[in-house]
Amino acid sequence: MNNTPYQEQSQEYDHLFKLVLIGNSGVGKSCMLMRYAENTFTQNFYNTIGVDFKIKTINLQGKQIKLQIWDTAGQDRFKTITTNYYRGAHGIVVVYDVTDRLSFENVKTWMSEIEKYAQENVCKLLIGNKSDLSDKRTVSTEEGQQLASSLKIKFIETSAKNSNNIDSAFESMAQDVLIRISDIKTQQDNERRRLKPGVNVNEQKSSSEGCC
Amino acid sequence: MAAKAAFKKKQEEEYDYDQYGFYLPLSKISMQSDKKELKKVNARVEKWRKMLPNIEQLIQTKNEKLKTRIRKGIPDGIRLKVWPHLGQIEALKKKYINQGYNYLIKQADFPYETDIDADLNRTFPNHQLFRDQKNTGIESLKNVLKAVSLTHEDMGYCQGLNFIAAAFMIYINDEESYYMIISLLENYDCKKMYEDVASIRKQLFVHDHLVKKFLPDISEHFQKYGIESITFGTSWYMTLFSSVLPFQYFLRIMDIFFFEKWKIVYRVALAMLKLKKKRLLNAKTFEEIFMVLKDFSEYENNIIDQDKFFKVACKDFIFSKTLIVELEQQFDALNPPNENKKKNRPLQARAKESEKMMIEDQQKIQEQLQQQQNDQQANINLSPDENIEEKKNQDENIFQIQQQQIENLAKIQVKESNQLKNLKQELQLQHKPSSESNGNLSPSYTNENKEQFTIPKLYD
Repeated sequence: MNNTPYQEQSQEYDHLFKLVLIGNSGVGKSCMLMRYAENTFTQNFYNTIGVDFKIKTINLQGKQIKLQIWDTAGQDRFKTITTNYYRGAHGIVVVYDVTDRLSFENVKTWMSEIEKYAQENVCKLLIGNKSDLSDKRTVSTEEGQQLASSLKIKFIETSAKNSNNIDSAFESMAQDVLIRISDIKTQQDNERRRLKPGVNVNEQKSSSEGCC
Repeated sequence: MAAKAAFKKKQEEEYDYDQYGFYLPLSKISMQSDKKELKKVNARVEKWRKMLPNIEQLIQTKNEKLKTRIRKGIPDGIRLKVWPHLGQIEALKKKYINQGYNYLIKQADFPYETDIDADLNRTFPNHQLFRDQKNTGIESLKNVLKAVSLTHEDMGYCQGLNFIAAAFMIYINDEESYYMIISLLENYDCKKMYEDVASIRKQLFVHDHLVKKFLPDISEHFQKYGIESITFGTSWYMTLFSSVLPFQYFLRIMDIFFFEKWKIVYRVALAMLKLKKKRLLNAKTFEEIFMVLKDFSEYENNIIDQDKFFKVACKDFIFSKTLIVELEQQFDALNPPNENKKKNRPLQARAKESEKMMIEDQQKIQEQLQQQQNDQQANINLSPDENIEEKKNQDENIFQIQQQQIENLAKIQVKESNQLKNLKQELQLQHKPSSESNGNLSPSYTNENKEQFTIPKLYD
């Protein structure tokens, strides 16, 4: 997340993944993170000024994965600060509120920010939050799905309030990053081999296409 | 399990409102009934009462005794009388006599309503004024923020202001709170950090240098683990600590801030770091350090003594105002004003401006070309007895310079035209309803906008 590389001293995990939550102000990014990392839901919280993060360690395919999940202020003018955190991210989650049409329409703007500031093949996920508020809904599940497929990214609806799909959303993202990392590692191994004289150049090369 | 639930229930019962109306666990409510403490406060009140008739003059002359007493904390009852003088509220009331608070809150439409609405329930929801929608505090908060955003329409509403507004409102009425904020914005140089959030980097640049100067071991530790002040300090500075430290600290910071301006903000940040020093240095990972930075329980539980805190803040970090000015200049030299400022403004305004600039530059090119043609014409009409050779050389030089200027202008124009195109596309992206577009981002758009910077390797 930082320009200066830092040394982790106590390595009690196999991988450290950095995820970033973005989306309009008030869509529930902080609540989602609170639900996921601390399994609590409270309407008693302060709006995020700048950035914040929480940690959660999970087990995925027998590997200990530490997730460093960054929460960002959603107000437009904070982009000057928050976009700096895209660059070091393995995965970016774009969140909208299913009861707030504008937050859905702004997804494309957030996607273009990712294009501008994040790494090229960063994993992406679209989340429609507040699915529990069915009577206030203004964005249908189908619309969300349609948008996600046109953007070629995964989609899920969640509720931080009743904790619906919260775990699976973050785990699916972690899974995608894990796959991508393995792909890159294989690719790097192959490239290293290719550089060595006497090694078969035509060795199988894994796909480096974006995973999500 | 049952015991745990009972324990939890018991814990819930031990909540109550503190003297300022915050709903807190009893253990976190400071008990100020200490007789000795009361005596001390009462003695202070007496001293303040004697100063009050001359307060304007004492403020004007930056009286040292006043400064010392302010640093000790203005007693509660007195504060209400002193703040308006410190903040020069009367002058502001005169300035805005034609569009005062009551006029502003009656305005039907205002541009930042959505942004303000989104934060109303997220501003001190643990305070009785702002606990739920039914409380009048929520509506008042909206009014104050609305009035502020209308008074400074170019700034509008920026997150962070909500905490400062609400903090004032806990203490003084809506209209007074409004004027206190206007004073902060206009008399205390706070406007720019809300108008252009990127400018907070300047304060943090100063902060970083002061940490290096006064707390070199912490500075080194932060550097080693990649801790950047922008990550933890943005909320400290943008809410003037109202969202992080207990309410009483905010009152005392404001006391000093109104008299000594920005120095105290840096000093409070330094004191916070200094008082956490041991814990910070013991934390050996990026995350651990952040957890320490984000933990304010020692303040909430009154483990840190308030008077001691302000003593550390005011006495341990002695620097001159000149140092801050120099550091700010250093920052400006390193970061010449660029597009960043413009980026905060609405896209429509930026697009319009780009268009205007382009038209102006186009006119300049036209003028230059015309000038060149005229010059050439003049050249042909030269009388033969003039020193043709010399004139020719001169003209060639002028011609080259002009040519260069035209080329430069043309380059600028291409850049501007690209910028305009991007802005327009961005506008379209923002405003095109999703049902009308196929949802694909135009690839040309994304490529043109791709910013050039080196990407650190993620997967080592």
